[in-house]
Amino acid sequence: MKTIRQVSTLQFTLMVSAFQISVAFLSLPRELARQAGTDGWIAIFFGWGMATLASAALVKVMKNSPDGSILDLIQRYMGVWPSKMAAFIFMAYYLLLAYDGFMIASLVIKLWLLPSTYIYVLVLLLLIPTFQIAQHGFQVIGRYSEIVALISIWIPFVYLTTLRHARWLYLLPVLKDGWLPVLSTVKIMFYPMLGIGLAFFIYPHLVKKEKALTAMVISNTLTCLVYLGITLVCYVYFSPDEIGKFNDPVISIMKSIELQFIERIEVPFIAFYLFVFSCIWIPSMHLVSMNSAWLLGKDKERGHLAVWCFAVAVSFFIYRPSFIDVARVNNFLNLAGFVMEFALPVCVLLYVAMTKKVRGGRRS
Amino acid sequence: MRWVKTLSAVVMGCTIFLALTGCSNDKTNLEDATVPLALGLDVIDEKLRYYISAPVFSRDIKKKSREGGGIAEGLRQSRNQQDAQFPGAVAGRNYQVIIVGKKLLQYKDWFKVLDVKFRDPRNTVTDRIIAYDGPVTDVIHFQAKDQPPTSVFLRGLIDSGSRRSTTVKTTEQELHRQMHDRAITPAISEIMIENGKILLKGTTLLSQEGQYRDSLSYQETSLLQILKKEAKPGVSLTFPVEGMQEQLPFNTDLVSFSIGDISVKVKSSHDHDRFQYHIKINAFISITEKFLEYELLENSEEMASHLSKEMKKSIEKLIDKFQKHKIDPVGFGLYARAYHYPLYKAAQDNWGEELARAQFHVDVDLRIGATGAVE
Amino acid sequence: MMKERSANHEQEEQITPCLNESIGRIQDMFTDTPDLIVRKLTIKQTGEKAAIVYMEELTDKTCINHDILAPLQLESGNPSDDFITNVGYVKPESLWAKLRLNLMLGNSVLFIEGRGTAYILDTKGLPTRAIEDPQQEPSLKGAHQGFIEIGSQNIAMIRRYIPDQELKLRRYIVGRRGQTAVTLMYLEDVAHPEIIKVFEERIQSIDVDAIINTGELAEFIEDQPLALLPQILTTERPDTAASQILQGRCVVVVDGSPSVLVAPVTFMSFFQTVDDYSSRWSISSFLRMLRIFAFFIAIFLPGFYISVISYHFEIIPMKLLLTLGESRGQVPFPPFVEAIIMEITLEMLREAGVRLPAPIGQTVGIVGGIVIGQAVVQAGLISNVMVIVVAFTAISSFIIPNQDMMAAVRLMRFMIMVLATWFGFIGMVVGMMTIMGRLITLNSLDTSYSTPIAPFKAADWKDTLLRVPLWLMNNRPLSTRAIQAKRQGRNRGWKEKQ
Repeated sequence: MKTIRQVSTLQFTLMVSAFQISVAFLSLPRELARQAGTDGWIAIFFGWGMATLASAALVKVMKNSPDGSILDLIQRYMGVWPSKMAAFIFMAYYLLLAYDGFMIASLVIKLWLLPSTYIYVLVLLLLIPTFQIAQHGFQVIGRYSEIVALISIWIPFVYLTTLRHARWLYLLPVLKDGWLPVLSTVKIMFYPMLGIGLAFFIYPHLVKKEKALTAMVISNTLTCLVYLGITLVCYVYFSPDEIGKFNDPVISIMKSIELQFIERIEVPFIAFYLFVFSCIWIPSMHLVSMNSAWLLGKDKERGHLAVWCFAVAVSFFIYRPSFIDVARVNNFLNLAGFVMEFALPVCVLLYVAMTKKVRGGRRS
Repeated sequence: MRWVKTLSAVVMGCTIFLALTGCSNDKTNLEDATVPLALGLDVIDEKLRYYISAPVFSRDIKKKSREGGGIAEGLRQSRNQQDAQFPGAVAGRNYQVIIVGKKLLQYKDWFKVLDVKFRDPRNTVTDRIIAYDGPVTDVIHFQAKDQPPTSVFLRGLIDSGSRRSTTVKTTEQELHRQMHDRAITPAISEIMIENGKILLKGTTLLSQEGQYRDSLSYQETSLLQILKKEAKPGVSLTFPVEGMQEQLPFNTDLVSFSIGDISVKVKSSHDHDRFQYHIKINAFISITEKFLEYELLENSEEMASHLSKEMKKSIEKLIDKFQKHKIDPVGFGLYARAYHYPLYKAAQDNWGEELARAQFHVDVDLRIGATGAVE
Repeated sequence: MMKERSANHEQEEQITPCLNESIGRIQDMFTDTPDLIVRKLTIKQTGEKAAIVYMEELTDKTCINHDILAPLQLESGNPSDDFITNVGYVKPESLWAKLRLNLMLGNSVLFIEGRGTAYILDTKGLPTRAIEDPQQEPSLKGAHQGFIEIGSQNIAMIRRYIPDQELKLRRYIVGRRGQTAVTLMYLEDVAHPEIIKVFEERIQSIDVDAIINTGELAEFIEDQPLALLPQILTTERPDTAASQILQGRCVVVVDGSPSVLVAPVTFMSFFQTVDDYSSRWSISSFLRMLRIFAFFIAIFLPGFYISVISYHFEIIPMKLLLTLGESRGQVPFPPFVEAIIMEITLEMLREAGVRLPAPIGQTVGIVGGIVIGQAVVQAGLISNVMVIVVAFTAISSFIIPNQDMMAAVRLMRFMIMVLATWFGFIGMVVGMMTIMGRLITLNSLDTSYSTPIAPFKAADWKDTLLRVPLWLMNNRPLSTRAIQAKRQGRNRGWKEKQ
């Protein structure tokens, strides 16, 4: 029971979905609006399509290695050194993702809640539960995602109350400027769908491996439904002329909700949203430590995790990022994510298929 | 190697502890802060003046609020001035109302003064915006023994008024939307001071840049809300019925009714090189006041058609007013943008003028549902 | 080495057939033990000399007099018997170590001249108390019986609820000096064998002087005794213990302690009471949800108050803002100090109330609650909202049915208050994350602690927030990993016949 910890299908679905939603939730409506105006929501469907295709390729690749992660697969088919290289690349990639998550979360907190607190202090604070949870592996991270999903159920209902001020006419006419703006927006949909790459590492832990593809499709659908919902809500609330002016329309919208017993509901909302934010950096830090442990050949993931957490905190002390850095990192991650999670499975799949054919041909 | 582990654990623990303890920079206790509840903006002698009114948190002081003000070029910039007048840090997080003087409304783009409220996320945007014809200092320094603090009072006034559609409820966020959306022009509430009391006056209509254009009375505001489809059931309207006026202290040709279910349909089209709007209003009404001797039970259809005609006239007069001032507080532009986008896009920078050329066809159909307890 | 060998030698030492030597040996062993009685007698049947040795207060003297001395001395029966006695349990024994132990446990030892074995007779008569309502877990509708300090009586009380032959017991002796009998009770065809194995392993590896209370045993076999949250349930009620066994869990009865241990348990087990199952399902569900709600209130409310006042007062509704500001305006302390003062005062009052006898305890409660609360507000030391917050928190923590969980809540509250005063809402959220992290990483005897919330087991939710009507709970909870899952068929069969 202790060697390979089991992850259930529900946990897998929620882990991937939470990973995808956590950071992109806040920035997606703004990006879509700036690129495609009120028709941006159509681009989400395209994003779903691409993510599903990539997931299918991913699952097919991992079917070749039911008991090991992608690194075992690469080692088996290509050798030890390529697998070490892959481990290094994955480590860097997930480190960047975790850094992105911390950066956005702490910048949002600094902007909306605690402006005068130093950013490295916030990051240090957030690292404490990260270390506690990430050291135990995907089983515990899966449980954590389940709990986060459970306690986040109220968020859609709060957004639905803003529909009272909604003007559905803002959405019309659909495709007012034609298909071109929509299609050119599709290229920014990679970043919000990052998370399917988790399957590379979770697949060996799954209990029901045959349901992996279904689970991934469900989580992509769930993510896209959430995106669609929040984008539409933002679009019908803000007029087309002003939506580009808000940096975080998702949070700004909450400022106008008036309840009897509490005002300014966005303050507890942002504090609460940290739970969802954490769903990107906890798996990422775990994967960073896993990959670095693979690189050094030792098994002491916990020590690696401690070192990486400390490194992240120190890096925030040395360099204080700003919102411009966020935009830069996001753009880079869009590209990097495309390579790592969309292009890589296809390439590995082709390589494995070819190798199998060659080996099979040699054998016969 | 064990000492390496213990040493590193101790080092990390110390760093965490030190970092975490030295950081309560953001803490402002409630009793140490000054939370202004009302903001007033005015222009006197070509200079922007601001006023703030904050409650006093002390049981012993009789006066419930403290006022302050000054000349400033920008709100955030005037922070130091504000801090100089109040003990404790002034926090802009709890505003209830913003009162704007008419003089300020003469200037284009005065709304940019409020940019800081949107830029700093800790500020409120649900405060009500109110226009006042006169020096704003009168409102801010208004003290009455039988009223709660002015800011709370004003907010309650606007909220209850808007519920009965005697005024609009424009929050700062809503005003931002109306200002920036070229298909609609802003409308804010208006108050006046009469006989030492603050009263609700109606609505103020502004141009797209925020300049004062016109004022509406209670009933005109109700009609505006009806056209905007924001009227809540229970709106009360009063119209004279033709041909039965008598000269008495109270006009006996007036009939009041309140609207129950109402459906407003606006159809837009483009014909003869101008926009055409067909507005159809169907409503169930119940008569609430009638002075005439009139047999309602038998002649209810006649009464209904009279009232419909009167209502149609009033609405058309209202729309004429809009067209005269080239404003669009109802938001007819939204329909144009939604259904006739290319044509709208051509005119979107001067929508007011385009609307002034448009033609409106209003059709009102009222049905009397109830007459109350007496006939 | 020499000492060890002599100890082993001592363990193996056997009695000699000579009676006087045995008696002499006993008196050498038990110096300074005036309650050791040696009664010499002659057995009527065979005419042998014998002696019976027992500890005065540990034995049931009536039993000795009537069931041993009388038949031995007065009756003559079947010559093929070893000797005549009416005592049920008789065991021949020749090792001095065992004889000594049995004497200390309350049994009597019979030495007969010329025989190489002595006989242990069960005459235990330890002082007991009457069975009464358990103090810590009173119930409205359940039985008013609680465990007492005699292990065998406790086992009997449990057996009464489950007269099933599958109810097995495993007995271990724990403690070198204490020699406490620890009994593991479980249903053989229901409880998972791995759990039993883990239990056995952990109990048998305890090397300690003595176990006085069940709590000590719990600390030895828990997965993480350093954690704040309890991972093993202790109960004083036989009905609770019996229902836990029926769900597939194991119960450990410790002789000499009125609490029994139940494991493996989940987080939700600490919020279930016996009354839930005897009351109607709607009120039970409501109370369950109330308890969970109270759990969160008790931990987070003071922290929430501190962070709202210090960092985020913009979320307070308008009217409350004015009154709150006014009441805080008089207080000289920052909110954290205010909160700490009131919380510590309340904890001291609570602890004082525990030790005092009943009438004084009530008065102290009233004095503390009303007078101090009122006076403190009037003096302007604490704001009245703070008093309300603290009182509400205290009431919420009292709702939690289990003492260990209540204690954990009391401590977590202080951590959250510190975090809230440093970082406001963010601190509270990070605290919440840490608590959640603790919950999901804890194991109770190698089963996940936070089931059925995470990992999500839909079937177990029937008894978590809601208490689903009994006729829907057909299977045992998945969290116990029972190997035989179905526990009821149709138990409203009369309805279908209608």
